[in-house]
Amino acid sequence: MTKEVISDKQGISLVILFIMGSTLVLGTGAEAGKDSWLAILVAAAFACPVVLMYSRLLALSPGKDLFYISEWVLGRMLGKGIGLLYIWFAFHLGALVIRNFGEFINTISLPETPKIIPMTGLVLLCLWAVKSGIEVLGRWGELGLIVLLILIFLTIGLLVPKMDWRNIQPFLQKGFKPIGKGALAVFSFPFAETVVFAGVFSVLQRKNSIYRVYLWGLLLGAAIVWATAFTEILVLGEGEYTTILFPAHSTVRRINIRNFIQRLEIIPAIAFLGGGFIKVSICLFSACYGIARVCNYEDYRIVASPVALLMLNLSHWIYDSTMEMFDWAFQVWPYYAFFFQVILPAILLVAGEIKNRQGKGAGKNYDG
Amino acid sequence: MQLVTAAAIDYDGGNDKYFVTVEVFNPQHMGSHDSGGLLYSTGESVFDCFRNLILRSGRRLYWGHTEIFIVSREVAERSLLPILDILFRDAEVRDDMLIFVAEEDNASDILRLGRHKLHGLAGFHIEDVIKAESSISKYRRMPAWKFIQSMYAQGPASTLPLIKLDRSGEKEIPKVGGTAVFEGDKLVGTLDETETRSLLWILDELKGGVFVVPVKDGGKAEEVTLEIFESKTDTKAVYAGNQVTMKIHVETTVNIEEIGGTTDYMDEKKMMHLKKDGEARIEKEIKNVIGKVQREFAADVFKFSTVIQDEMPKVWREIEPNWHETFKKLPVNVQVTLKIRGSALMGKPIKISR
Repeated sequence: MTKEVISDKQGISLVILFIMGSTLVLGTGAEAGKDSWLAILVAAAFACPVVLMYSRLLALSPGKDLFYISEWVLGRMLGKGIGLLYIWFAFHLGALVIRNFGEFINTISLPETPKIIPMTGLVLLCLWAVKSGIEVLGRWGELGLIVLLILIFLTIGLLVPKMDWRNIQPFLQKGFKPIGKGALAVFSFPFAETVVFAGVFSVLQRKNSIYRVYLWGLLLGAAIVWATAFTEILVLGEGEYTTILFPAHSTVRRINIRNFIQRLEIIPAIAFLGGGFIKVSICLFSACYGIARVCNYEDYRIVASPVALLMLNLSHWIYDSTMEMFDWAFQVWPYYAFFFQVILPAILLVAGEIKNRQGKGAGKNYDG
Repeated sequence: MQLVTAAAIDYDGGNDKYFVTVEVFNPQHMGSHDSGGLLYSTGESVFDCFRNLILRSGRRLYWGHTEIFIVSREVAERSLLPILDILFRDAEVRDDMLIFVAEEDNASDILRLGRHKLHGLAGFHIEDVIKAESSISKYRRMPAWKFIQSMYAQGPASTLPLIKLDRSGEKEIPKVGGTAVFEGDKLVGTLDETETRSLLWILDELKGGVFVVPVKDGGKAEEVTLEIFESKTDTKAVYAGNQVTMKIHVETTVNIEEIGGTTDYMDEKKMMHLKKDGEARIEKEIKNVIGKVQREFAADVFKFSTVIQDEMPKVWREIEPNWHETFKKLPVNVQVTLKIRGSALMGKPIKISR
């Protein structure tokens, strides 16, 4: 298997699309009510050092991914153990995104169709992408991002007449605590989910690419998430924003210009599709890379099909209802994910730096 | 596929059942006599009614184009919540539907009897009428989402336009005019058309319309009709001596559209007189409606609470628990400035030489 390489621009596009992914449509940080936009900024600020942590971790051993590094840092057994944990995390996240997508399509347009059908469609597409290799995904990402951005900003433009600036006042009405809760939520969904990229970013071009890609990807992705959340709060107002399950859909529904430009709700659906496709594909990549590394396979593509189908399977029975899905996402995810997003990488980084100082080589020489 | 163009909900208190009337439209059969019709059904809840319609229509109806929703007074007095919930929650039913409260005994009658000659379907007719709101300003159109949004806010109350059947012509026609005042989700009272216009004035939502001023000059009395071109209203709250006072400043630009006499309003003195009379009249109407709402309904449709909340949040926190009482006695100062911009094509009135 020849080494795949993607350019920095492609890497950044993928990170942005990943962050946009399900967040655009599900909304995030609603605990902070009308100050959610502030919670997003706070979360982005906290995500920067975390993302730099991921970058530094990967930079310890350039051209290698998280799974390789954990073995190098903690030894074969423990390293593979950590690897298994991250395989699970990527796998689980992928299944959640697939389920989010299925619920969305089911709720807003195809209530009679069994959810498994749109979910299968998405999974097959992602499987195809993974089998084609990350270079293909990178190229698609570059193009797809531009298209999605044009759609998103066009829509925001059309919504300007419907914005009511009173909806974000009074500022900090409920104090700082809800913003803290909201920020933690936004941090764990979606900013720090980019830890999944750590399993995949062995494919970047240059040694310092990783910092650029991660940081720019986070900042630009956060900016777009912020812009959409801000628009939604301005248009819907706090009450609706916190009640409705898919705020982007309801917001875009309001556009009605002379009874001609109306019913544009398909646009958030397209955004979700584009972003969700990338998100699931990256999760799939990460899980497959991980399995290939842990089981010492040469080619990750062998396990792609079974992993994808198992992901689909998990997404199908993981929740009994939409309510359960949202409940878990709000109550459990931030704390559960924190372990994978902050604690584990921190441990790895510290151990890695120690090993580096001890002069045991920059890991390039380690050959599992 | 059958599209629902309008729906009406009644409530049967005796049996605790809802009664739904829908007007359906068959696009395939447009033009022929099959093109539209009415369907009725009953059920334990609104959504139950919708589904029970299948028993009559033979197939599921498509709600994606329904713009008009009429509720009976009884439903409005009981609670609008069940209806609002389904409008908001269901993906097919659009939340920008316009809701009306029927002034007839049955909301159903409006759709049943009000088939306008021009359109054949009450739904389309009402849709057209409502679009002309800015030209007449005798009702306040209210999309469902806006009403729901106001329910989330603490303090202000919302309104829905009234609709009834106009039986004065040879056929009954649905007529929109006047306002139903709500406290939360329950109807507490109504305002007539003139009072509604004043309401729009106060809320800075008046975009047009006609205003007749009876002018008394010396012995002569005549009526001058003014057309409203634009209007701007500023509502401020003033806190002095432990008392909040609302100050409403109205600035309206009008044209003289009809002079019911021979007075020459190009004359500056006469113009001043007209202006003062007009301003006094507007002020009176506004004060009347505020007084009525304060006395009879105690529902803050004027959004005074929002103004207080914005301008003096600390004071609001103190008065909020007793807002209803405070609102009832809230002093309001009204100041009106009328700008007479022109008099259309004629400079002078028609002269009677005899």
